[in-house]
Amino acid sequence: MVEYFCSKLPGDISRPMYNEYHDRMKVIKYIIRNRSSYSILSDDLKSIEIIVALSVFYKRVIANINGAVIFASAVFKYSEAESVEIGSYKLTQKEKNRILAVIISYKELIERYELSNDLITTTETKDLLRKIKNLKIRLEEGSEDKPNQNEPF
Amino acid sequence: MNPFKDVEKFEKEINSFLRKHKTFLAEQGKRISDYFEMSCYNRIVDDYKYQGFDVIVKNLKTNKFKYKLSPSGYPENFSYFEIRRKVTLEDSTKYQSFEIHHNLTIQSGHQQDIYLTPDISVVNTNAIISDYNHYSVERSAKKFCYVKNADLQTFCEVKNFNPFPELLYNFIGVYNELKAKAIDQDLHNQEPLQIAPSLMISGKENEHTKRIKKSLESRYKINIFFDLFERKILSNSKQCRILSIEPSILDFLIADITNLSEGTYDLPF
Repeated sequence: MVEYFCSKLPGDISRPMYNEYHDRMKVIKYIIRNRSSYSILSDDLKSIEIIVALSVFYKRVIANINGAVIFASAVFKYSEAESVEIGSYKLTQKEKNRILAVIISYKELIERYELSNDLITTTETKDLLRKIKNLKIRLEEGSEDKPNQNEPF
Repeated sequence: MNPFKDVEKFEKEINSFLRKHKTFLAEQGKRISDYFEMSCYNRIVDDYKYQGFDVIVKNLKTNKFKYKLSPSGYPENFSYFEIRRKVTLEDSTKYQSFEIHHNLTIQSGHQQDIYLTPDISVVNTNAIISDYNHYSVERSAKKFCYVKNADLQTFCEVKNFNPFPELLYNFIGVYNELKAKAIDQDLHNQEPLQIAPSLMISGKENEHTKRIKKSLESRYKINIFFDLFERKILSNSKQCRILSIEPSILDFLIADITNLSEGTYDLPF
């Protein structure tokens, strides 16, 4: 799944994304195979792959372009600057809005599928899997209860 | 939509998102490492803001903030942030100020004629020196710009990599050259609190690099930050010590950011 995300990115970004995705999926597959409490997810590997790929993409791409937006916003706020010049690239207000549009589009996509920012930004794979499991239970049961964040792994 | 039941639709939507933004991703992808450095720079600036400093953008070039991407180029051709705050001393009010630069060359703490260039430096104001004799070329206008080691307050190295042992140990070399001597001799033990020399890494640690971090942070007065991607890192209480180091050993370097406003690092959405 991560290959879709990597295909348009340069090697120095896509390689670590690819490695991180596969490292995390290895851990996830191991847990699902060996922990009975996670067997509920054994038929959902495709969905989990998508969620993990979205999470890695967030960390490696979205969070960083968001960093550029925040930096540019600070510069525009504290000065008369009309752009931030990074080499030959000019990050103008218009360009900043273009980046924001992509971030918002990403955000809408994950929200449409009930994925919270908290879940997507979870860096510990075990925690991520626990949250995915809780999400599945919540969606299947239609429960209004919040997932138990303190559930022991 | 249920990501477990509507999985095919989910996949299609992702493909559609990626297709729609493929030109953008191809364009912006090559700048991701610069963006990561910018966001780390932003965190440093925000930490001083939290301490009560005002932030002033300096050296705009025709209304452009020129970001210094590499060690090459004269500092006067690039923009930077100055931080400034009022300090009242015995009935008189003075300003305390520092400059935060990217890729500024700093003199070694051990030998006066050797230098290195950390990614982010916090230095005293107006501390940049132009040395016209450095290159030993007659009648050349070429100059060498640097900051004396005594004017360096703190520095950060920023790496958009996954952490690996040699990367962490390399940072110790930079720390020893620039700051270890000054910190060991308590030469910077007054207000304001400075962020300890820090290695900021985007990638996720494994068990081995976690052990190395713990070991190095216990031996040296440094921070090593992993997985430094998003706002939760700074607003998460467990991680709040990231801009401090062992409080008992080095309280003068601790920046208490536990009450840092969450919105500071909030995503724009």
